[in-house]
Amino acid sequence: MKIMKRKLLAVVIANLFAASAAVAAEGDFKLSGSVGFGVRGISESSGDSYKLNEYRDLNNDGVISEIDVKGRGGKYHLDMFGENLGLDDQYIDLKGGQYGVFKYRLYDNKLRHNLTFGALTPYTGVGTNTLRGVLPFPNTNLATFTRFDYGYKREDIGGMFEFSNNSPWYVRADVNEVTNKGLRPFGYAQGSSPGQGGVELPTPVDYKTTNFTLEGGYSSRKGHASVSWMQSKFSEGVSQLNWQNGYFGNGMDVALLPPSNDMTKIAANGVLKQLPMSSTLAARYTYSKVTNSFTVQTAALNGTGGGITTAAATPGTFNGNVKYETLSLSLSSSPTKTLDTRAYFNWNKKDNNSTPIAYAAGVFSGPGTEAQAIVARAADPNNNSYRKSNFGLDLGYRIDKQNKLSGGYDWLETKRDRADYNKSTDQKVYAQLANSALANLDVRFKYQYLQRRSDFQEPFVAPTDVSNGYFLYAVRRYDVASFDQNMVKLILDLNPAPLLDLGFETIYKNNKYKDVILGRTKDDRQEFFVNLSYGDPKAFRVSAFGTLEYVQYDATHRYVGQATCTATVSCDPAAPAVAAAYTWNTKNKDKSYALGVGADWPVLAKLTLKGSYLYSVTEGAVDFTTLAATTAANYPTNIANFDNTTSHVFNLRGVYGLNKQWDLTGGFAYERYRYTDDATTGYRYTDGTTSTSAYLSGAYANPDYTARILYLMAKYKF
Amino acid sequence: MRLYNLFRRIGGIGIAGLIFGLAGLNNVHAAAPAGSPPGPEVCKGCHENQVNSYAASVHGQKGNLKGPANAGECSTCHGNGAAHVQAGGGRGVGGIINPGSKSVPAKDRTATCLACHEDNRTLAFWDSGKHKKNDVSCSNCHSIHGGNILKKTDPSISPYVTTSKQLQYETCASCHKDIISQIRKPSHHPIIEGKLKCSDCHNPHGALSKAMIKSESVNTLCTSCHADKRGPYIHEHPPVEGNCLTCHDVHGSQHNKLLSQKVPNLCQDCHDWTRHPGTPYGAQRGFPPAGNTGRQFVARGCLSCHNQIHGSNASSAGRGQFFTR
Repeated sequence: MKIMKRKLLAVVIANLFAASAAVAAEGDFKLSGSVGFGVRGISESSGDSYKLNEYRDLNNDGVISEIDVKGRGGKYHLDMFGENLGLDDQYIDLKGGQYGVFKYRLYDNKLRHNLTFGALTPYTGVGTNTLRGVLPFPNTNLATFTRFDYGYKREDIGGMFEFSNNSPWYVRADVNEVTNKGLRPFGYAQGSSPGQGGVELPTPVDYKTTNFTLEGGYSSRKGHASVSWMQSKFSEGVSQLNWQNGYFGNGMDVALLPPSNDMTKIAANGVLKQLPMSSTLAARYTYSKVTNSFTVQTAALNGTGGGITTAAATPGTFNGNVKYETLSLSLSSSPTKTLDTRAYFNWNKKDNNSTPIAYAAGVFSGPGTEAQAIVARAADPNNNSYRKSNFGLDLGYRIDKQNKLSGGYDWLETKRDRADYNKSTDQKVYAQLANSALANLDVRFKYQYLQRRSDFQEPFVAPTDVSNGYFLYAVRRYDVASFDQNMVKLILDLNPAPLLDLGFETIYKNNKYKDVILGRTKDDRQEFFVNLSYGDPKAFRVSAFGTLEYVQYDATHRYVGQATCTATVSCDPAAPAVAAAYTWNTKNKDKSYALGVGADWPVLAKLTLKGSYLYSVTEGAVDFTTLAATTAANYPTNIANFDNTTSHVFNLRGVYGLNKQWDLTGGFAYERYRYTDDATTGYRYTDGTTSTSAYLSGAYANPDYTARILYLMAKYKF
Repeated sequence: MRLYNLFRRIGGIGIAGLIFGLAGLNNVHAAAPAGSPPGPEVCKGCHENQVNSYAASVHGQKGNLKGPANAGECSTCHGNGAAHVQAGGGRGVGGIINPGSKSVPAKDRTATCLACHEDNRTLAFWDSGKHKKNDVSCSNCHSIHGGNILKKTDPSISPYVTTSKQLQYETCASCHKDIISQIRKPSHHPIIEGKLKCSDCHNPHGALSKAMIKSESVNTLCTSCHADKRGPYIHEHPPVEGNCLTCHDVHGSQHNKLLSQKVPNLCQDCHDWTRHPGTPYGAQRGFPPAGNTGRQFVARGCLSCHNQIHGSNASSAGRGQFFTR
């Protein structure tokens, strides 16, 4: 990887000089641009500054840099941009070519995704694929824990070359490699139930995805045709995490990490333009296959003495093989001057031909009195293959210069291999009116109705049947369940005075799920946006906005506090409530709003000020209702803080043109972020003092920060 | 006779009007008045900034054989400005055309650009796309005479960013306000930080897929970056195989990992069973001093045990089918 990076940098620099030298021979190639260097200082106070640095490398305060070069000539062109050189958010982009003949691009895009700083774990070996506990377990002494950071570095290096030589024929190659390296929090149950504890472990991430695409085609004013072949390989440098399991006698447990895979895709596109009635016929076909292969894991840690259970798998090797095939057709026309139409058809197929694996009953091969039985398990019948057929028609009719009426109908049928719903039919209709009859006011109003009807497959189970199978019958999963959706959207754009723009937008969307006994019953979304902009960008321009969003999810559930239902502790939601079994409902409410104002002000001929202030709030809450006449100790209390955040952000930047060659930029930013959540208040890293202890690492727990950022940059222009 | 002459005059005027009317409707660049088009050096007299930006751009390069510099220069897009110059200038005077003006229908504004760019492979699916259907034209997003190819008229309102690039989302924001409010939420893709662009997932120039995404399906698009979620897995999680958007609000969310609802509530909308899947987790299940800490509620909730939610290859004995390994 390092070698590839050095090679890329060398290629980029060589290209820059070679291109310049080669085209300079032309005589009319001119280079212009700027180079900037500066310093940045950050003062921050935080419990854990990961949120401040989530996608920004502000930890390495010090030198900041930027380079921006443009080359323009009679034949060749060149653009190079680079910033944050040497930092974890470095970006370099070089593109250029010869007009009409070829073009190329080379880039390096680095990203740091910080997840938590200063996490704790009672394990050693952090950063490796073997974690050993600081024994003896249970260990509640935080002083013996290892401190580390969660996060990963992502780098995307790639390039493109396209050759056309002023011909309608072209050939193009794209290649890139994306690497992700670091640590992420993964959680694993120690035993077979939550009461046996769980651990949150620093799991190594070492991913590499290499993509290569070759495309050839023909592109002219009358049509386009192309064929492409893409190969993508994902490989993981760490295939499993070995860790000591305190519940199972400190035996070494194994967690399998995401498997390597290969993907091949062939695509063909075709477009015919300038057909009768100003029509365009477009088509696309794709075929792709994702494969992998590995030996099926059969052993698992079990038994409180740390023994190994084996459950033989048939066959012993898994060959993953999932095929996707799609076909899309679209005919766009303007049969008259005032009418636009588009008819389309889409077909989508997924075939999961992966090896179905059946597991035999487990065999205890070590000491231990683990009570659970490892039962034989047949291969999963839900292989999630599907077939989708979709067609639709969009119409747009211009009534007059100020009014356009649009409408459409869409039909989608999905047939899937899934136990609960094997078929869904979606029908959508919409109508939209765009009006600009009033001077300086544009209005757009849209109404859409979507209906899904799905065929439920689970067998009917009478409420008097006390088997747990009642849950299979009662639960309607919202991702495929039948529902009715209504959506309304209104947009107003007003220009009441010169240089003054006002905007208002509101969206309301409501889903009502049908035939739901248990599960999500409905969800609502309401959004409002207002914005104002005033001024001439050459003189002074100010912009302000406000947003408000409400989202609510309603659901019904059934609590049964024992393993199996009985006549008195019933699965039936309509059964009388008792302390050990009752129906409960939730209203999950999410609210968010933001206010912002920004201004660009050329104060003097040489000085421009840019400033902005942004205030954002998110609030989450859950209201519970239980269908019971009497309260029970385990009845839930409402949640008032569910991912509640408050953020204040202030930015001020000044650019002073010292002279024709030099600009000075100085800036100050203030950020304050606060987070409260009932699920993290009073956070504890350990829970329990027996082998069923759970260990948490502090992931995402404390993102509060206050930061002040000061920076200064000098830029030389040439 | 008088009546005949009258009819003749009316007919002549009518025919002439029809001819000029049709010419005006069918040709963006209306019939050119006499006089050859002035070159940029003439236009520069009043429009110095625009001409300079044109000269610095790809459009202004002589080596670009298909470009305006080898066709009619300014007149390629703006029409023959001879009469405009003769009349002393002015908005619309002398038949001069501003292809970026909102008074020009979107179709005609786009036609100006497509006159040269229609053979561009990136525009192959323009006619099938939503932008064309909603009367969005090239000049809504692109600034032909500005420094940056993308239009941005409003000041930036964002946290401190370590990039000095003009960010693409600020152009899209002028229309897609609902999406922009999502990307500002606490859990978001790094779009406002400048590490990801709208066009990394969407093709604004048209595509056959819904929402003009660049791939043929949502899952194929997501796994082009998140290839670790591709599987294939022995134990699959059906909503994952169906659509990533079942659980994730891809543009932004107030909940971690772009989840549309917070865990455990999101999971419980589909999973109801005896004991912990069907147990309500209220505020009383938080960390002490709350009454009875629920491991399914605190910290990462269900994911503290069921982490392999996108699929698992662990053995059945290791409870791979419950995604705990």
